[in-house]
Amino acid sequence: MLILCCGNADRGDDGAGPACADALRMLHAQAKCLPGDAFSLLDAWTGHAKVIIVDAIVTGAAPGTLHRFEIKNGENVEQFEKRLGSSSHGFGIAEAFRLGKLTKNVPPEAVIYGIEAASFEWGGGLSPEVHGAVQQLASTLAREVAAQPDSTGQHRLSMGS
Amino acid sequence: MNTTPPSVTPPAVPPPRAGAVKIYVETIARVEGEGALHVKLKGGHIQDLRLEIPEPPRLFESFLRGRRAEEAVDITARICGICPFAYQMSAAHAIERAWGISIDPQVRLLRRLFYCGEWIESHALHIYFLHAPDFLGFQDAFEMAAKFRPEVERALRLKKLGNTIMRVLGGREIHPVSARVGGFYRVPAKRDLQPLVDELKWALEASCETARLVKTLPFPDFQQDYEFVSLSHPDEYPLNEGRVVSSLGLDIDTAEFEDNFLEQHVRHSNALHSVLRERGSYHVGPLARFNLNCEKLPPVARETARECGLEPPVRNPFRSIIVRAVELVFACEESLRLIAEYEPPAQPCAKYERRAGTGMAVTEAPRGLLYHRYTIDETGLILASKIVPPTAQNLKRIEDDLWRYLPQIISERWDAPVEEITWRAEQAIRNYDPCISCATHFLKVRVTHEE
Repeated sequence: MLILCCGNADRGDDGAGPACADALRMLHAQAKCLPGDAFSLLDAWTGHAKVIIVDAIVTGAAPGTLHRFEIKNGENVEQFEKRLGSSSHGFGIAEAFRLGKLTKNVPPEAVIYGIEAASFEWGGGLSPEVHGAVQQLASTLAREVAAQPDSTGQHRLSMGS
Repeated sequence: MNTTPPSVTPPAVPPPRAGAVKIYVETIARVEGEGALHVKLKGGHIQDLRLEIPEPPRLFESFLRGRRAEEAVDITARICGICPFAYQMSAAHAIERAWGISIDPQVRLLRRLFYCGEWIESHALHIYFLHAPDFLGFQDAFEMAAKFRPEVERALRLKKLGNTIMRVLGGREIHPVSARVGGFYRVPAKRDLQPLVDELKWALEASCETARLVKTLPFPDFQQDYEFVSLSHPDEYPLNEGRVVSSLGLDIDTAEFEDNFLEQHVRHSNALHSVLRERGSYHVGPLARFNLNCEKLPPVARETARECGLEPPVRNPFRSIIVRAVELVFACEESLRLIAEYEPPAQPCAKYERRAGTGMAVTEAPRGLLYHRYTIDETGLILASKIVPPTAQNLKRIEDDLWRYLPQIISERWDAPVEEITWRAEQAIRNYDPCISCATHFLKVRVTHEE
């Protein structure tokens, strides 16, 4: 399972992705930080069967709301696109799926976690609601990672045990 | 005057050209910048045309003041996510000039290779994802990918190679961290570059294929009498150093840049407009580089240009997509040569002493000339700086092109729908690969008819 955290840590709540990667590392789970453009996503997920993507999102919901989208074989990316109130990226996550599907480079199983952002102010840091949502998501994902069998078929010890 | 969204059919009588047509192209915010286009047409004549750049000024020149000169290399890299290395190079060269530093020839070679990586990723992105869909009548690259899958896969692989070169040399793809005043913090071993060779050989062939593909695109018949401006080096295709030359005989040292070029503020744009003193707008970028330096292209690139029927001066800006493909060939061919010749320098960075002085440098970013000037005090702090990016130099030229191109479209087809005029205007803007071009792919259009 590959976890890709997208966003810019210097741009307020757009730092939700990178903050989630930091929190995951504290919980001994690996995640990769990406700027979030389609090209870096396509490159990162090549050859992976299951991918989890974490990014800030704007749909008009309350800040910190966690949105979850399941994308199978890049098929139903429209449901994710439809929820986007606005996108400041030209080639972002939705485009990565569309392009990946066309070029046969799309993970069979993908889950996008969108954390509702409040502000994208430069140097603004995370708003409290987003910070809370990030911590919660990271511990859920860390448990999921720990429950995965490793290459030897052994389940990793979950945190605290 | 009433405002009609684009989905509403324009009134049948009078036809759009009989009254005035106002085209308003509004952007959605993008990281690289915002651009908007306003055009007001009446009876086939333009009454008003403005390429608006409402992005707030970023004030880099001001906040560089008081910083250590060495920091300029990393600070200015943040100006652009697509061509950060160009900014690093113009800054490093300008400061090296102020301090009288001469760099190791192998450091120079590595910088050139680094620059080739940036050209590859930037040109591949623009040719396939931003510009080609315009010519083929697709809404965007995704629509294009459905019909041109192998070509889009080729584009992705080319772009990835450019990024890989950036990562191998700079530690990461965006805003690389290895370059510094005097050289590099760390240089690669010869074996670090070897894995790039096979992929570059593939890319050289793929770039030639790219050129063969784009030469067949339909090009509007539109020629302009530009003054082309680029760097010129006695025996290299211009990239990292040289004199500033033009098609009208300008031939100056980079230190004389500001004596000849002037930045002007215009009301509708927060990006300054550069002009040649007493001559007006000029053209920088691939077309200028090719027209002024094509004889210095290495053999494969030169042959590709010949095969594509490119003869200097190429004065049709739409054909810049072919020139960009030829430069893609050049960047791959040059990278292979540089890797073959590379031997790690004895020291990654030259020894130097800070001193008071002023240094200017010009390098060739993928989009054209990038000028930096720094005045530094005796402790090595920046007293003043000036940065003239390629897009600011082309902005007035883009407007001048639109002033001539739009009436031509209308004279060819008086009943061309507003949507078509808008699309062709955007295509003309994208000839210059401005940093706002990504944004102009996602535009909302508002049309106002004036009876």
